[in-house]
Amino acid sequence: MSAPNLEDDLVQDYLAECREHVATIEADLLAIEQGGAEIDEQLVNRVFRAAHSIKGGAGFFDLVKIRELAHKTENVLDLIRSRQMAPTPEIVSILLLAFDKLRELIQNHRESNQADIGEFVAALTGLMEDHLGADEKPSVHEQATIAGPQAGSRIQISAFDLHQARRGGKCIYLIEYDLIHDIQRRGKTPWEVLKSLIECGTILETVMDLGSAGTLDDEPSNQLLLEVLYATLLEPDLIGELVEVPPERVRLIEKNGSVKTLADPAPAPAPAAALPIAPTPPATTVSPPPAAVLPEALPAKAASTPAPPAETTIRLNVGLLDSLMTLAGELVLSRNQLNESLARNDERGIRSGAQRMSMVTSELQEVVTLTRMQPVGSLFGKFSRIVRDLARDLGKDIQLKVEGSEVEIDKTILEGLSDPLTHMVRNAVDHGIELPAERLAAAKTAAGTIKLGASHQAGQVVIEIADDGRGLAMEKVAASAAAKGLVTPEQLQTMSGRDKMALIFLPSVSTADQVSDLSDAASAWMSSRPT
Amino acid sequence: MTDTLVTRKDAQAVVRPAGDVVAASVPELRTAMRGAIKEGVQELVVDLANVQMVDSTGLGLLIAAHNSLRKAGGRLSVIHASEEIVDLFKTMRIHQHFSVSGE
Repeated sequence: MSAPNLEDDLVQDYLAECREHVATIEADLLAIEQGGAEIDEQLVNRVFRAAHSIKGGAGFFDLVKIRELAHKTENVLDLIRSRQMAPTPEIVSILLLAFDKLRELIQNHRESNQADIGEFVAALTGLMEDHLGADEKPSVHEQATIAGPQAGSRIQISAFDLHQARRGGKCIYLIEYDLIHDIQRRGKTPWEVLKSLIECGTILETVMDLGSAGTLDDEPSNQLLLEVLYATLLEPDLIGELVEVPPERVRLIEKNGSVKTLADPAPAPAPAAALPIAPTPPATTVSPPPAAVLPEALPAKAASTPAPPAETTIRLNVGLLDSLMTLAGELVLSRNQLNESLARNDERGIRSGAQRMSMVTSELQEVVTLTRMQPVGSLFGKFSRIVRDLARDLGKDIQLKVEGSEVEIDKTILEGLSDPLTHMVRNAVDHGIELPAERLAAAKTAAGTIKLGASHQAGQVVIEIADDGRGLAMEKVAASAAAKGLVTPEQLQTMSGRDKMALIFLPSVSTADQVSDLSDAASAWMSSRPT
Repeated sequence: MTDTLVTRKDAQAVVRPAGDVVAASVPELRTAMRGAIKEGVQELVVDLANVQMVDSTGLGLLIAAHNSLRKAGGRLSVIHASEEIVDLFKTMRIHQHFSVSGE
């Protein structure tokens, strides 16, 4: 039976397709981020559909984790598409990380069902739960504790919910009901009271003081305490109309977290109320706050994971494939001609056959070489993400300009170029481009530019990388080289500026006062030195 | 008004009030529940099939029963609660303390 093989082929096709999707998604997401609120629907739709087809295939092949993660990203993209969510850098970061994870899962699809995607799912779910601006997002994972009027009573509510509840100018009150005195004795039932609250606002949380009911053996309790955290548009001077409890048991929770009793005759600002809202920092031990942690997790991870295995499939121009087919056909013809001539011992035939064969072979070799040529854009493409992430980490504003993406280079060279180019780009971001304030002070635009270009020059491909940053401190380079004993001071005197700058390529020469972990300048320049 | 129905089976007792659990009926129910727990009932089920309304004293009674049972190592559950009563218990987060199920 060929069934397992067939399925294997199908999975392979699906995985190859996924890899293609994921590769285009990254660029598209970055473009979406660039667009900001100006949403290019086509672009979002394309990413959405890519996520959707990853999800669909994963469902078919029972790759549950891939399916779940793709599904979550799809949900978030749907919100962006419907303009319920603006693609802020934070949101795009989470999406990018989710797709990074998807790529990893797709890479190891056999183990993917055992993978832990909890934090990614949580981060994406968090995004969906709040369609708010990104600056408000960390509050999703923060707990606010509101101390109740009784010692020991605490209402826990996520700071995010509290924030949400305030939207539209609502006030938040902590109301302490005594179900017996405030409700029973007024001839009401608890449900009537709660219903009237729900009609005029939102009950965020309630805490019943079970202890106040006593036990069956105690005298029937004449007190039953219920604390209600309530959000309503009613102002403090009107809340009394709705909530029939003595004003000293209605407290207004203010934005800064302070609590004010409504009956408060100013002089006695309840001292106990000084620290009532204590934002207990991120999600008390249970689960790490993914939204906040994820972005930082990336660089570390990127650095520790070894380079992904080289691509096993490449895209081929159909025209190229056609000419390969033609050449193969011609090769067969030439062989037949040659065989025939050999059989007939026709020397002229053999000669012309051999000649034809030789021509076809050369052409074939040429075309096969061409199939290995890949546009340099596939390499340049990954730098938008690197520049974006690094610049955000460093608080810089950097534009990456790419030119000559269509220039083709042999796949092997392209792969070999990846590491040194990455070093150089990181260097430009880290050391070259200054902080926006420094740039403004130097009469430059706040946003720096890194240019990455490829061009054909005299039969060679020239890769150029340039930044409009602070440049190379020539004398510092020279001094560093001299201090390391790599050149003598006398040599320096006779050196041209260009030669002095070239000293940067020597091992352990650095201009940085402190070598940052971001780019170890020396090793970077070593690996990028032309050889 | 018929009386509260108490059904015993081993350590379980089902108390089915004949009408609403309100100030007027609470004393009788309280006695019935206390009696059951004294006799060693660990699992007290309050069947609210005939109940339309629970008032504050009624709530107090159920919570007191929960407190007593907890002390004795038993547990309380409420069954056949009307939609409104389930909503009430959920809004008050009482269902986090003992099981409340609807009709």
